[in-house]
Amino acid sequence: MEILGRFHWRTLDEGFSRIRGEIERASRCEDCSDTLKEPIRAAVMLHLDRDLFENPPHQDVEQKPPCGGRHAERALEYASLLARRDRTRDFARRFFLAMTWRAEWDACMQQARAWARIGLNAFPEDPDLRLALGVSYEKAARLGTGDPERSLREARRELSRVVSSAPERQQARVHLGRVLWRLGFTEAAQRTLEAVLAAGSDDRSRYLAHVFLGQVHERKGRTELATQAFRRALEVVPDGQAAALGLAHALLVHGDTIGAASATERALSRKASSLDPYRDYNADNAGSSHDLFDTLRRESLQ
Amino acid sequence: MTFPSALATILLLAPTFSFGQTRPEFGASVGVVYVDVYVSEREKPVQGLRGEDFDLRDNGVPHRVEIVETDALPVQVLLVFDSSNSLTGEKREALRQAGNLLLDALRPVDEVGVIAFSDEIRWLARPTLDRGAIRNAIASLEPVGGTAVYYALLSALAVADPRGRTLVILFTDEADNSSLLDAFHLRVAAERSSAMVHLVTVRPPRPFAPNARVEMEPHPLESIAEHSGGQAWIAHSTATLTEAFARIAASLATRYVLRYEPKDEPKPGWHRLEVKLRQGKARIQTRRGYWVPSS
Repeated sequence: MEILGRFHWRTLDEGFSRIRGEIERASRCEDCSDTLKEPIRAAVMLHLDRDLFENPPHQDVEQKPPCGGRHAERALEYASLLARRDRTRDFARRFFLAMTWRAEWDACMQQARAWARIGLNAFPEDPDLRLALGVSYEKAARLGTGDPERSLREARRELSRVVSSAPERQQARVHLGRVLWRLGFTEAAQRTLEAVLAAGSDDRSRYLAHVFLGQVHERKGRTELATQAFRRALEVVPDGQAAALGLAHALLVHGDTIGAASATERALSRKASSLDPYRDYNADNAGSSHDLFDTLRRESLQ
Repeated sequence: MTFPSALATILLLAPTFSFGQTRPEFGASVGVVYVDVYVSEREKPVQGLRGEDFDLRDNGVPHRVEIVETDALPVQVLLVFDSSNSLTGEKREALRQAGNLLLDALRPVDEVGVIAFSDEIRWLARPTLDRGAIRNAIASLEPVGGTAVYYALLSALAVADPRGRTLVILFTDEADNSSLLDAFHLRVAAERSSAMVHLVTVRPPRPFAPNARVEMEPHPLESIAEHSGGQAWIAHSTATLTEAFARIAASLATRYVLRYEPKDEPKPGWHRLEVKLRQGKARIQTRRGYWVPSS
């Protein structure tokens, strides 16, 4: 079995070497036909799959999985070649995005930022990649890796750029509002979150904006406005745990023990199947990386 | 297992009790204040103390205290157990055993409820006198998801009976990674609640480093437990987890409940409490204060 395994890996390694040689030859050739683009897409996904095999996610969600290794880097390198050709640019863009999400999901924050930046080198105005970069800074601050204050400032800068270049991206505005609040700019946070509500956003964004506004008001000592914001969030998502407990906290601190107990009961008794949008907030789109990889894998085989 | 040299718990309850009633009714408006105290010396409880043995100050003002008979005073115990993905194998089994051991030590009048938390919180059993229901709830703990320990503690503080004596026993083996709230929010909430919190965590032993000082970062909830009159217990192995629960259980039977009447209507806001013995060097662990709402 072991001999068979060694043979398998040796064959695979030889295959990778051959592919690499072909791709390097193609990358030096400006006038080559598009015949090599499909193998390059397949090679990108092959290297990705080899990397996922060598660095599998932990079964225990509370154990940090390993970060991507040399095959992930090779896949990114080849994807950069695809970004040069019009017909494969969007494949490359989505690959960079999925890789950034994957690193973010695995809490490999340095990699997430590096990979987003590789993508932004090829697609400087892409709002999805810039949003992913901003969110990865925000998450790094939450995890306490590096200098949280500095990460929040970076997150603010990147998210502000998304809001400026793509004002319809309410998701970016929600993250920016939260980051501003965490930086202590409560008035700016309030304006940003209120803009999400004024834009008539989707339920998820409205729920999160109300919840975060509740915390903005609470920090400023405006208990009435805070409880009002949490209640509005519950109107949008009746089973929202974060809103119910935010409300419970505001009421308890204000001295309304009966109201606090009632709001907490709501959180404790919610349906097991219900999902609080805040639960996904910290991961944001990162949980979708595998779906996007599947789509890209299918495309690479066409 | 690392235990401080003395175990002391104190539970402050802001009540509306008038002298002459047979059973105190604890509540939010302050006519009479009840303070739940544990006194120990060399890790053993000190018993047989009288009211005059205590020196109690409320915002620096001394008060004469009486000791309330605790036999007829039920305690509401809220078991708040981590059921996140990391609670596996031995750890889960040790927690079940520890929970059952605690149940054995409680009096029949004491209600128990169980809240489980991962990245979500839920009742496994609402407060009840039915021990079988609680044992079944503890046995049903299944590991899944992340850790929202701040949600869990806030829930327990908020549903704690505001007119009763509530003991929260919070077990977790991870730092929070899922809550909207943070340790600051919880500190404020704990000041507003009358519940006493014991925090039990599992942590690997300190690494051996003969020539270096190795500081272990405290769990953010440790100080909240201590300020509430409870204690933080750190089990270095699953085998010693039960010892923590055994000692919490033992302390329940040997606490004092002190009662005093503030001379004037207490002012709204935070009231700092200091409790000492007039003589001797026994250790007293007490809630650091209580909150009077503005209306």
